[in-house]
Amino acid sequence: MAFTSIIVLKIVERIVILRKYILFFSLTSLSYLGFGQDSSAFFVLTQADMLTNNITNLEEALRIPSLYQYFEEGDQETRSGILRLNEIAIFKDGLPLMMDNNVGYDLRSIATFDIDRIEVHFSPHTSLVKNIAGVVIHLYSRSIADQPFSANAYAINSSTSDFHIGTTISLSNRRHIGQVSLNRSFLSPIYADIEDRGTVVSGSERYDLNLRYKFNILRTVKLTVGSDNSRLRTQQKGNVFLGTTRVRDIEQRINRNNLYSSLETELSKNHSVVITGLINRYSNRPSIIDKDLNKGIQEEQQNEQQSSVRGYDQGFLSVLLTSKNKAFNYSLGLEFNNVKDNQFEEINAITPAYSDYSALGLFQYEFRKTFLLEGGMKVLTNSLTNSYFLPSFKITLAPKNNLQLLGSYQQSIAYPMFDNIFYPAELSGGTKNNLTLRPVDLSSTNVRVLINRKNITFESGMMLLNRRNNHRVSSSISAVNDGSSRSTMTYLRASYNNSWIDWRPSVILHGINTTRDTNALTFFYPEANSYLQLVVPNSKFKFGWTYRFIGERNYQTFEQGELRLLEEERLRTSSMSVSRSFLDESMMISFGISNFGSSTEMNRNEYEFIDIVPVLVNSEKLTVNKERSFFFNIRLNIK
Amino acid sequence: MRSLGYITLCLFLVSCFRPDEVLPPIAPQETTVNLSIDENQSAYIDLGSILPEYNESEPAWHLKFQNTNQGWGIYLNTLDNVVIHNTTQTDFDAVDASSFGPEVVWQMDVPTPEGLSPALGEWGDFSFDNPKSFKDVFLILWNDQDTSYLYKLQLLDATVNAYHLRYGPLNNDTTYSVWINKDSDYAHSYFSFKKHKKVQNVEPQIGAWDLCFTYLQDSIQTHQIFPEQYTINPNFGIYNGLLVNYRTNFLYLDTTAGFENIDYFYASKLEFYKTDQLFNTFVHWDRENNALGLADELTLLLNKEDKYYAIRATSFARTGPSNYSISLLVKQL
Repeated sequence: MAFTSIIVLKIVERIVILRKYILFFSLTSLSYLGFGQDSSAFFVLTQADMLTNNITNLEEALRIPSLYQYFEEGDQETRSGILRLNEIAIFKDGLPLMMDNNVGYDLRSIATFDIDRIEVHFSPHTSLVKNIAGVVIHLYSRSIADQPFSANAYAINSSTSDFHIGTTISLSNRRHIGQVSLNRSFLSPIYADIEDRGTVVSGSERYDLNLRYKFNILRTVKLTVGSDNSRLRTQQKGNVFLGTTRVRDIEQRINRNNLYSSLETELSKNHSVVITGLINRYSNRPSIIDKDLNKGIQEEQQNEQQSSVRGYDQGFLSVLLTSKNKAFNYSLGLEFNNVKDNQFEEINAITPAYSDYSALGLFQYEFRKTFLLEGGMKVLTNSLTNSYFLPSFKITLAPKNNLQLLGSYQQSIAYPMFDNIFYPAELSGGTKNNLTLRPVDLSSTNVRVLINRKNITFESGMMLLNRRNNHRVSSSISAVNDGSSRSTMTYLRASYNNSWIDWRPSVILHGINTTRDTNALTFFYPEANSYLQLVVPNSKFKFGWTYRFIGERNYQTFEQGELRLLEEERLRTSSMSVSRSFLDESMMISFGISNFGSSTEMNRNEYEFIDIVPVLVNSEKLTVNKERSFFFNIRLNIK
Repeated sequence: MRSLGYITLCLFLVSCFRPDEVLPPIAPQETTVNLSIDENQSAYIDLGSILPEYNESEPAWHLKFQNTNQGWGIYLNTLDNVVIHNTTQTDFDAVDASSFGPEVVWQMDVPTPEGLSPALGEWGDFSFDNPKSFKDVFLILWNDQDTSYLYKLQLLDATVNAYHLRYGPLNNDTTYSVWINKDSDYAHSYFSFKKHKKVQNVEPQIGAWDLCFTYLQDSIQTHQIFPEQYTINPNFGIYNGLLVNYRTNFLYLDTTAGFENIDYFYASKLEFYKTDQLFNTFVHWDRENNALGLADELTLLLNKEDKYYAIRATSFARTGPSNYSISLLVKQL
């Protein structure tokens, strides 16, 4: 009997263990990564760094480690190795900032005056779904001061006539917290030639109104509602037509309205749920204006204007359930997303819109402080193409120790540009659309070692990124999925900080093979960054210095059936600032120099292959930065 | 604190886009064209430089061949009195002096609303990549200053980018066989019977000219003005003509706004059309003085890509029996 009882008990025990495993696998099968954000950012751009570099909008903010930027025909191009901007995820407070990064935002329409820090992550293990297998950028808002009343105001003026002014007012009774921010920014243009009026980068003027409201309904239930609104006007000036007094300018009126809300509640001692919603609206109305500068007459071209207006709406909703246990945790979530054109109801009898929904589940298991295992998967279904299974895992050895080894694998997708899916050649500037265009498949493996001592941190690693189903323009000038690319990023970063110094140098060696399907040539380019913030001991002075170097970049393109080689010149930029606080930290005055090496242009040579011999077909100068400028920043805090 | 608020508000609202600068007016450019039937038969003008470029061919050409891929027209130099007659025979050797007689009717190219219709007409079946010639033998009359020649001419089969022809005197002493290759840089290739080869520098490259002041043949009945010169065909005369490079330019003739008032904004709303030739454009018959006078109310507007030009004649003068000089004002709008 006793033996039978033991046998029964053993069977029951096995069943219990088996049920645990069944539960475990059922959870992981639903999983999407959702334990908040991976905390180990490769780089953090602080408020002090933003002041040193005079950063006032997202375009300027994306000149950070691992990324580089230049302007081509007036439009900015941001890249990281083989990745273009539409394959780099950018989030603000965990919400997508630019829809699915595929509608061609003007980055100057996104202000950074309310941003506390910007983090750069390499293939983070996260509950986010799209564009996350490579470089991921997170913007985090400044927290609202926990005081009945607080306000700040600032003004920034530079020698290139840039001017920014704004104010933020916050009210709080601990239960209700509200904040209103107003901002006006003017950015002067970059001229092609000082003797003519033509601009290579347009001037812009932006007004912002940001609202935030937090309602602490209960200790465990919090509601946040906010809205970011901006109106941007840009003015691209044309050169005077030879032999006339006539010019053609292009103005754009860009409106960006963003309404978001999140409800955060604890369901039990160990479970919490966050429901987040976002409505995002973006429109860009360009107008071509012909002017006679002698007669003072100007007229807008009406016929071309209507077809060049662009506008998109996005609706986003996510529900994320997260557990908080000692050893084993999980997250389950659902995400719904819809993007539609708000200018064209139909194009060739097709509604330009798509939607997707994702189910996700993540787990996290820590075994005796020896290793931390994280994993999970996401299943994304897109209304236009297909379903995608996106697994991920991460293992951290010795997660609590000063020396950690980390390895992760991540799969994700990046959507094609909206115009490549829906806009016919006459709307998209010549490229025929393709409704069956699939997203790019991204997968990355990231291995790194992290050493964390009291004031010093070292991190070194390598990320291997594969991109399949590239978006290319075929020889029949239509958007197609074709070919694959691969890149490596070998990186080393350090940081040293104490009460008077914060120094964050980093070095990255990018290896890029953009046309892996055509030939297997990998090109390398180095990158070095140094961000330093120094508090002068026994004084109220602070000193900031930033230096960036990006080596000569070679890469190949395969477009319209032609293989081309591009050579881009190295880039260097450096900025510095000095600040002093007054009136018991209520006022701060800063003075700085942006781009004091005055590195403004880079050469780009383009070669075509005739047989196997590269023949130079184009050589051009691209604008990379504004000329050297001095800026003055005054900030007042009222508490 | 209140004053700080006012200052903040002012700074908040101040605009920093620079106002547009004011530029001084630009005077129209002036140019003069001198034409003569004997020497400068055509003057080509590129509106970018507006200096006339005169025909430098020496010797004169006799046949003009279309160079476009699908174009197989062959034209005659009427200014040098080249005329043609279709014998309707296809045996080249059988055409001899007996084929020429008083019953021969000489043909020349005829202007039509669709463009110049060549006297050689449809000389083959052009539905093939390599056109098949009907192999009609033509009598062709051409001259070398004081001497007139009567030749026979037969178009042989052409290839995709070349004409093949043979010609020679009626006595069959000599027969020449030549290939005229199409040159895509030029609208036409020119051939001289005297040199037995293509003549260069007759016209500028396709995109290098916009207007050409020249002489054109037309039916005398359609004009109220005496021709500059009569032709061998009593129904046709030679008139002052203006060729427009229709490949790159669209045209509008304005008589209402006035040259000074025409600007880009006015021109950009007009409906321009395509034409390749105009007769006696800037002149009209002055009944009071019984002579050619200047049509000074006329402005010729050209639209080339996104550029607009306004052209007005300021003077017209005869400098000889078949010579004239015309001065033009040209402004880019």
